[in-house]
Amino acid sequence: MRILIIAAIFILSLPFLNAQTIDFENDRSIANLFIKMYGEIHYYQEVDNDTYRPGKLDAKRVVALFGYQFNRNTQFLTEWELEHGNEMFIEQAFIKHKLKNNLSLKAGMILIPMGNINENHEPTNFFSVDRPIIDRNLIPSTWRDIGVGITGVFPSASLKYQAYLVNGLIGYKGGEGLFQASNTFRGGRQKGIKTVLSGLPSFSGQLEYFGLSKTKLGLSAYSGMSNSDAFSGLPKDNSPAVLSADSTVVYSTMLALHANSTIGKNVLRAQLVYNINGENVEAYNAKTGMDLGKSQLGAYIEYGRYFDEAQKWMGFLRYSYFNENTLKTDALNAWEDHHYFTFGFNYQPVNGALFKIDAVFNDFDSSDERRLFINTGIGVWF
Amino acid sequence: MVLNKILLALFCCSISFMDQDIKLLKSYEKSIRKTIKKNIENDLAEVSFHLMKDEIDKSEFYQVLSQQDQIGYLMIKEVRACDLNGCANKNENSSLEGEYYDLATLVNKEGTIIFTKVLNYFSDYGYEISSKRYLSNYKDKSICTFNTQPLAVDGISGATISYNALIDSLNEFCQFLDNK
Repeated sequence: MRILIIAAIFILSLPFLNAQTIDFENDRSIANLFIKMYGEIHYYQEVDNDTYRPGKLDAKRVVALFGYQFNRNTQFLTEWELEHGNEMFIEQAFIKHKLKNNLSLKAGMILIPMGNINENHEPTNFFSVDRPIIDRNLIPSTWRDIGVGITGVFPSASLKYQAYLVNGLIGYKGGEGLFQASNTFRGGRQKGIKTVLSGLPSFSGQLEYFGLSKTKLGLSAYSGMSNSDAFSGLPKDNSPAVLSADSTVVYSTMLALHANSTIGKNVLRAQLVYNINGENVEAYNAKTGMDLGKSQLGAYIEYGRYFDEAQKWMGFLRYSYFNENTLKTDALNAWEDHHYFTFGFNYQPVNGALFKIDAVFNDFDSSDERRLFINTGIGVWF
Repeated sequence: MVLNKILLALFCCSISFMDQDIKLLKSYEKSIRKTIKKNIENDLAEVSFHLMKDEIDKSEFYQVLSQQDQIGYLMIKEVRACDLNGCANKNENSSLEGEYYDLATLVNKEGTIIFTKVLNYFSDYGYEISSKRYLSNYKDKSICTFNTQPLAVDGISGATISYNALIDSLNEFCQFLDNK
């Protein structure tokens, strides 16, 4: 009897099941789905006359971007990245919704608008094999986090603005400090992986001016307290424990000024980045055993020139400066200025496919620290 | 009877919304009037817009008068922009769901551009094309020259889709003026 009832229910439900079948033939929604990809594969070789230095080959990243345009005012974009052949990350996943002319709401996992490269980090947007050192060791590109904010373009003023509240960096996790002199905040990116918000969100914003005929200028700012899991589970009335946890966070303000200029076959790019940390850097270093500087300064200037009308061949030169500790802290009195000189060539047989080679002289002004790298790689963006 | 009134109200509302969708001028009239005033030297009396043609490929064409004097012709158009796919590869999909920007172009009776202006730009890509300085390059040029001599300027070259769509729009305006 039970079998008969089940059979009857099944038969009666068939028309409804049929009605729920997805008809891919008539599904127009796929027309609003956008797919893009980019990728980089690198070979680094340090040149050293006295010591063996094995080269490093790295499938640095292969990335897929998916976008969906719901309608004229609402879109979703996500970026899935496979790094070094075995690390999977989400770099972007946000909704952008137009509220009115010049004003859109953006929320989700977003790129921090900071400097030249972080938002435009595809390999066709920089000439060197790797991203400029200032965009790795001071601006921790690809720098992203979860947040919400507004963005828009004012055509009459030639201005684009972005302003977000985002979850900040994390300076202390699992009993370990994550900020250090050599690459500043790079270890403290939360990357949207079960992130910790122990205080207030950070502010991130950028103004871009594109009203000059051949030049685009940008001013970026980031300010906020880093996060720490040392507060987790602490009673709020336990002031010694809270004071101890306080020394695991750092308040930071970073400012960046960038300029891009294209005049005929000539490309000129410049960037200046300054970061200052709060007074408690000494306490942070003492508590965590790290060596974060009180402030950092980084800058580069770059000149590139296409050799042909079709812009397939180009050469470039870049000078970069980085100081991890412009205002000395006790832990870091020994640090000095670093100078980097990079030159190289790009060959782009078709738009979006690049072959790159460059030479990087690290600390070329110091006989003790001087190092030379020859790098080569490919980059695609389509 | 009550139901009829409700249906009539709903119908009127829907017509009014449809009307808003079609008439780009309504959204930007204030801004366009201000720009006309700025670009015409003479002291203008109140400017009026007389619809000549609309709904043709998301374009609206107006005859622009100051009292009885004709200033010229205005085109307002939703123009395809660089989209989520970026700027380099043209998305051939002509569905309504792409990204767009709104463009206003005023020409005089002879077809010389008085101004071309981006009224609204949503996309994160290719927005450089909306720069007032860049668009001033089109001023005083004949609307019908761009099919043979596209005007490229340094720094805009990356905004391929938005740029191509701008040139297509100006060419469309030229064709409309030829056929009017």
